[in-house]
Amino acid sequence: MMPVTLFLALGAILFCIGLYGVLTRRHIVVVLVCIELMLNSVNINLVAFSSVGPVANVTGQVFSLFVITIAAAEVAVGLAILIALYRNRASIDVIKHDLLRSS
Amino acid sequence: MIPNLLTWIVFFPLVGALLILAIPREQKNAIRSIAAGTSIITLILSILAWIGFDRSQSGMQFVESYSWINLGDFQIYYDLGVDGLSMPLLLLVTLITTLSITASFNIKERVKEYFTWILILMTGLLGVFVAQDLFLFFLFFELTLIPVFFLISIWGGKEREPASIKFLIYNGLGSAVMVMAFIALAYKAFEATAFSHATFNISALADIFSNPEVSGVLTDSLKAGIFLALLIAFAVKLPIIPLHTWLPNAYVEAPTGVSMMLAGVLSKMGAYGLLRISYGILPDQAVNFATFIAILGVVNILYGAFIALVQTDLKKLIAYSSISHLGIVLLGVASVTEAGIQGAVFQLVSHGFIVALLFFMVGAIYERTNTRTISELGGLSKSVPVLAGFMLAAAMASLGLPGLSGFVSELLAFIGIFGASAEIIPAARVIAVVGAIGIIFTAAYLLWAMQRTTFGKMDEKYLGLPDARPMEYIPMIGLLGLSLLIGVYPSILSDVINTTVIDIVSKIGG
Amino acid sequence: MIQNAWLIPVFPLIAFVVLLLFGRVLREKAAYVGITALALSFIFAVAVLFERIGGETYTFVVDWITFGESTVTMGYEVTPLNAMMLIVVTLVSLVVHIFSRDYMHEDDRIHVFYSYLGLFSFSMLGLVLAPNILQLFIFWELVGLCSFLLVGFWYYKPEAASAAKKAFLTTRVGDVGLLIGIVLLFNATGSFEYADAFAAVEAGLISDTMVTVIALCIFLGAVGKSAQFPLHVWLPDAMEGPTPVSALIHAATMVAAGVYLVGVMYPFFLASDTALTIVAYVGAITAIFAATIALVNHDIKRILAYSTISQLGFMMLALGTAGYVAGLFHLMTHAFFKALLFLGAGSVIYGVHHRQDIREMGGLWRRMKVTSVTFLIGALAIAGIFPLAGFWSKEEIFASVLANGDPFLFAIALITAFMTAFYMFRLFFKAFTGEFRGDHEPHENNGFMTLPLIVLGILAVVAGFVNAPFTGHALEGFLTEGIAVGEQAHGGFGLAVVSLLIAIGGIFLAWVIYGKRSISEDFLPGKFRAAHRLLMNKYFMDELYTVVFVRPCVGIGKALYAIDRFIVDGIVNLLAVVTRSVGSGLGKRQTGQFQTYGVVTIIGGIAVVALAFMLRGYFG
Repeated sequence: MMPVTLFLALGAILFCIGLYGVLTRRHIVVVLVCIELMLNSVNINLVAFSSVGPVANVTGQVFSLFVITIAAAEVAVGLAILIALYRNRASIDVIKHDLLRSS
Repeated sequence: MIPNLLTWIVFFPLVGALLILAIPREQKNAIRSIAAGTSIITLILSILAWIGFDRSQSGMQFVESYSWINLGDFQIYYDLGVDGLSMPLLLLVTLITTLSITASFNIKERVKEYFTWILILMTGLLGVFVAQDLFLFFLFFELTLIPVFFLISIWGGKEREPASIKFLIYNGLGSAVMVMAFIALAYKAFEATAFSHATFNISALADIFSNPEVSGVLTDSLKAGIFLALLIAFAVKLPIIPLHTWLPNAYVEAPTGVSMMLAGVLSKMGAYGLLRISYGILPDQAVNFATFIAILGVVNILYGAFIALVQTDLKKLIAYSSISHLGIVLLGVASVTEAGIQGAVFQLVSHGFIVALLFFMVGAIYERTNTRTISELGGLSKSVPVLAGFMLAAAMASLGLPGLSGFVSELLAFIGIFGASAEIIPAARVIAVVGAIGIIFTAAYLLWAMQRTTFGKMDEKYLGLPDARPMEYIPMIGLLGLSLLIGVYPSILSDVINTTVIDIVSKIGG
Repeated sequence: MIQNAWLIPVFPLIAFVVLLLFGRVLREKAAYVGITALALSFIFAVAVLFERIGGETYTFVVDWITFGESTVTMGYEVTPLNAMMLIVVTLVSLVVHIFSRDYMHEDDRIHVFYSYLGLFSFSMLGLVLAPNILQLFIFWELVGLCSFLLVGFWYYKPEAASAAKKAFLTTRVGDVGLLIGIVLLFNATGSFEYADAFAAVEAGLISDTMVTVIALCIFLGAVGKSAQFPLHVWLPDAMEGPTPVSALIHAATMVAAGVYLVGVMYPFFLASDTALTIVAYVGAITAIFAATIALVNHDIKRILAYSTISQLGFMMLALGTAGYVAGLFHLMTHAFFKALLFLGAGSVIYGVHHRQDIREMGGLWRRMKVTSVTFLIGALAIAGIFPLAGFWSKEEIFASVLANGDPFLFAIALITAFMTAFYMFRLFFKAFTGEFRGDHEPHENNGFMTLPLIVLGILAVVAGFVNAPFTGHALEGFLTEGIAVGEQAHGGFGLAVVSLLIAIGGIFLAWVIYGKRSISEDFLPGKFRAAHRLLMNKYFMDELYTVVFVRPCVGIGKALYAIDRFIVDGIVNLLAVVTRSVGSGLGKRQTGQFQTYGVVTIIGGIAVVALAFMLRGYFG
């Protein structure tokens, strides 16, 4: 049996890669992909605890299914917003969208 | 008697509001009649409660208690009830709201929203006066803010937006302080009873705080701190100087019907909260703070009166006079005597009627002359004799003419403050005399205003203005008649209040 | 009948309500509604008086309000004093109602006038019937309201509007004193009833200081209402009201309420020598003070107004020197002859087409016979000529002042009596004798105006007999029954002669100057220029009050308003501005780049976790 630490390390590495991507990439699609990476790193954690954790049970797997579903929905909504954004602003460059800025 | 009468009274206006929402906005007359009908039915229900009220009993009546929200240790209850303190105010709300709705029939724009908000406001106000659970009280207290905000900011005068925002923020901050005090009250009581009594119920809290066994945990400085926080919270509403600056703007900018509600009922929530919660739960602090409150009262009376003396806008003058008159409530409350507290409750009711009438009169005159500037009016007795007559009568009621309700409340409040024991308020008589001088100033600014508006030469351009319309007689005669009724036969009110007041005073004294 | 005494004030109240509702329809017929009501009241009052003579005091009360353990009652009471007052008030009110029918018939608001008169009569009668001091105060304020309404009846005249306000406000100052006195009395005795107050004083339950304080507070109310110095300033201005109003309210009834109040509370005042002395001195100062102003005034109504103030001062002087009966007796006789003089003045003013300046009159004797004769009777009565009403009551006052033993007060009383005779006959000679100096030929008025004059003229002659030596001081026996007011002083023949000589002296001097004109009118004013100027300006009291009270109050108001707007509200607005500018300042720092925000968020999150590690060992 592999120790749970390895799975956690994998999850942490994936999470950091995802986070780095979200924070640095300028292309919105890439940002969305990176968010998927982060979500999946969480899934790895959940599944790892579910199978080799101190109190292994099925709850973690159920939660990972939830996450996958939410992630799918999120991608659908995210892409829809992205298309709307592109139609309006003719750009998918993150830098060029600063609607959060106070006027 | 109708079961769950108080719930019916409190939520019936909300039912009316929902009904109005279901009606197309073009059918203005239908909306108006529904609003009026709802308020009248609520009024009738509250009159039923008034009749069924047992005058010999000091405790809560028409009690309803249901478990509502479960927050772990803390159970929040849907607790309703009325006693001699809240019963008159409950009736005041329904009366003033009904008359204010009648007075608002001339609102032409966005009629649907207007009456919806007014009815929601009515539910909030009624709820405040019957809620016996701090959480519920707070909920209803907040429920009054939003309708008023919209009522001022949509239907108000020229400066309506700053006025409404100021009202909202000021009162919102007051509520924030209040909710902190409430949580402190409930949590400290929980702690003091070794985590056995988790409650928001007002009388349960009062019992805990007055229980000598738990007093070790509840230090005086803690109680004083909570009392002060509550005082600040209610001071905003009342208002007590210097937390009053939202008031002139809000009263002046609000449309007539809303001014009537604001000054007539909304400001009474502060005084009611002070008596019900501060005095009810922390009676010993009421004694410690008596001098402070009495001085605040005198400051209110004189400060409001002096400023009213130099106002050029009639509506602003009434707004400041309102500050001055509520000082009398503080004087009565501070005295912690039966006469004083009863005088304070009388003043709440009486001022409600009188100030509503004054605002109505100013509104009616403004509608005709398009000005509220005192110097531009004049000779109204000639152009609109009936309105001018009622205006004069309202001013007389306001300055405490015997035979009208203002006199009874002033008399009782002064009997109270003159008779306050020297241990509670040192130099009570000095404070009282200074307060009594305020009465002269009240007469001064009101008569001066009357001299320059109803008396004097008439401006030619006001010739041929239409005098009072039949619809306008309803609020005018209604409000003046109520003031006259209480003034001539105050027992009608005092027999409801007296038993409860004796109870409050005995708790403070004992 | 005495049980039905409550109907006496109710009749005028009914008239008021009827006229309020149907006045516009009735118009001139309103007068008859008022006259009928007052006639009924008068008949009832006479019946009540006769039943009360030799009868018992009748009291009827109902609960009014309860607070704590105290219950306050309201009702009515018929004592000798208020039985007498009922007659005075209903009678004067009735004749004024009759007189006004013609005097006011040109006014298209005559129905309003009569409704106010009805309200006033109701309030005044209610005041008189009040069984306790709180109820008295209630009606006390109501008569003040009626006075306000009636002085300001011609509201479109700025002077009238301002006079109405002044009347109300000035008396309000006194009223607040009275209210404080009443509240203190209640706190000391737990009751508003007269009898309880007297009993408490007698039993020594109230400290001496408190008795004095309460008595003085109550007296302050009387000072305001009865226009005593220094709160007298409103009464001359109140002459802006219609003349019948001046006769009813500002001469015969309402202004006498202050004297009545002191009379009703008399046993209380007797318990405090200080209070009595102050009452006497205020009365004396008022009497001479007002009389001096009356010497030089030219307005027929204002002369009478100052005369009223002066005579009220006389009554206070009498009460202050233990002359209970003397003061109230003078109240009654004065009510009749002063109402007569005012109605006479009204008749004159009506006859000369609404002129009030006596310099524009003259020679009315031949043109207005009835008015002139009755006016002369009134003038003789007030001057104190035997055997008219004023003679008897004034002589009683002299007697009580003399018996009191303060020579200063006695001297003032005599000097004032001399001045009274002088200024009344100055008025009489200037207005009624010599040549007519106006521009419209005057005319005598018809029966509705002359009948009241004749009735009052007869009363001015005979009213004094009720307390004359040859009727055995009947009034004194009646008024002092069942009430401890001490021994009443009586003057002898000598005092009567002195007072008569003084009156004749005053009349003679007036005749020399204004009738025979042996001395020029301008001689004395020219001789005492400064004094004359002082008197013409009424001792500059109005100006003084403006500078000392009105302006500072307005100044304080303005200052506070500025503080309110710029400092109190300023702080609030400053907070708002600061919050807003901090917000927008920080807002400018935001790039709108969510990735930047994300970096900051994560660094922040890591920092928090690190802090938690270091400080609390939370995870350890």
